[in-house]
Amino acid sequence: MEFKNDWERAKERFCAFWQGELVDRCCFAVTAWKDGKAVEYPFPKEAEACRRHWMDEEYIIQRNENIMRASYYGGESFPAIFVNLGAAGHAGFFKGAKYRFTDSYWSTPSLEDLDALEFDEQSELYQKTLSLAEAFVQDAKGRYFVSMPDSTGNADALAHLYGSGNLLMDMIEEPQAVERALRKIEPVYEQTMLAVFERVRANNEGGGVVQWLSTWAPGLHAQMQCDLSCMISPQMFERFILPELEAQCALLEYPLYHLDGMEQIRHLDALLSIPRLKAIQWTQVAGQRPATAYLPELRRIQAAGKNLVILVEPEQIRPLMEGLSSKGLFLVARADDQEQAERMLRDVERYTHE
Amino acid sequence: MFDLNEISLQLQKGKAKAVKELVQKALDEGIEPTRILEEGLLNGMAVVGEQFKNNEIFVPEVLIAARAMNMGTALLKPHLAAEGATAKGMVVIGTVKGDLHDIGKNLVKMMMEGRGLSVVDLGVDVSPESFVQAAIDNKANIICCSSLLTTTMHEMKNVVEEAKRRGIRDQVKIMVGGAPVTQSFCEAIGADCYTKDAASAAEAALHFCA
Repeated sequence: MEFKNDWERAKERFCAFWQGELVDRCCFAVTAWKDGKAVEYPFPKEAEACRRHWMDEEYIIQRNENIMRASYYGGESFPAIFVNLGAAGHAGFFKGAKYRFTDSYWSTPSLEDLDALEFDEQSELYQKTLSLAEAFVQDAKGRYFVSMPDSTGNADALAHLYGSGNLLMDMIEEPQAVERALRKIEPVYEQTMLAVFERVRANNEGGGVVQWLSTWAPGLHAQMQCDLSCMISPQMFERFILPELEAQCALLEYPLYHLDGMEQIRHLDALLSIPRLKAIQWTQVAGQRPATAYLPELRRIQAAGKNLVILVEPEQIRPLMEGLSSKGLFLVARADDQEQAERMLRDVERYTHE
Repeated sequence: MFDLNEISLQLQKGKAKAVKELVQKALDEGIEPTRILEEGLLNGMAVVGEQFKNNEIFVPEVLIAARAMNMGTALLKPHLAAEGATAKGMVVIGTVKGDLHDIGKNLVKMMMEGRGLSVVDLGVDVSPESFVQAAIDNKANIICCSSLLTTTMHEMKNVVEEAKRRGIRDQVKIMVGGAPVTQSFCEAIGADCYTKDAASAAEAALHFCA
């Protein structure tokens, strides 16, 4: 692997993490700019430049190459490119989908009848997902990893297509139509994950990667999510969302759920009830309390035998590590520079305990 | 004797058709439109707001209740106008520039309407200039800005600055909300009010218009 010379040791720690075990210290990924010099690519304003930012293979590779060259990958952090066409971007794989790219992926609801939902294998975004993965792998040749796509969250994708308000009201008034639509999206999620994994696996030492979380696993690994769930009751979560997550956990060897915000805590029992779920990634949402304020919930996750991924600020390392078992714990951080990153690594070594 | 509480109960269940029929029946029986509005529709929406705030119900239930209320108010509107009834205040609301999320903004709008306020919905991706122009055009008491993204919330400060530039800052209250927004952010940008949920936003707005 280029840009990182201690990958083999990191790989051992990742393997131990997924087993809920420890090699020598808690899993910890810290990234910083070498010499503190940032290489930044602000989102362009013009529509055509925005499309290039998201869709142009050569441009994305060059941009990421420059970023990787300027980055220090400490601990379990590693260089990778993200196949990223927007969160729940698989909405764009369906017929009639309307979307645009700015600094984010925006979808305009276009579906009027849930039963009219139809996968379009020739759609621009599905084909682009595959071609991005292929182009990245061709360039990488093992020098860096290629991430699984952000095409996750079937209910979120359906909300993109049908409108969140319409979908939420139909969960009460047309529940069976909602279930039918969600059942149509699940095979598309599965096909996408398998197709991308087939393309990136060999490049990634047999593993799956979620780039924005700095996670690698020695098998089919991807993220699951349901951002929409912050608006629904636990009963609705169990009826509409849990089946999707159970199906995805059956497919993935190393499934990880991206828990986004305190409003999703009410679904924690349902999540923890999924036997094959391996990890929960706890998101510290801007404006909400930090992860350190949720130690009881984080301990519940560990007590249920699930691994835990947390994106942290430097000052949170000690309280989180003191409050949680280091087994099956993976902390991810961004440092100002290499010196601070190395200091954080030493802290993680110091506070590691069983 | 017509029981206005029945309108409230059907609204709480989100039964739009039943609410519409009951409102028509109440009108037919000669009950004053303002009483139907206050004791039936707004009363029902107040209960919904309280239940939502207490996590007893969630967004889908609020949405269908609000839709039922809209069906009832649509019937009442011409009668209220004829009666000379006026709204308790005027709010212009929107999601800030660069942000296309609308559920939170819609919930706040529904809750505000449920408290008897008149709300002009500017939609999503609204520029500071549009917020302020709409406030001037509608003689608004309140500008209400929503944002779900850390990358767009700074636009709220631009709304505050635009209101100053156009000379209406002392005539409008500026309310801010959305997932990444906090009380300290509200204070830092010089806005007047932050609330953490839609029902509290409606209460605060009502207070400003009192």
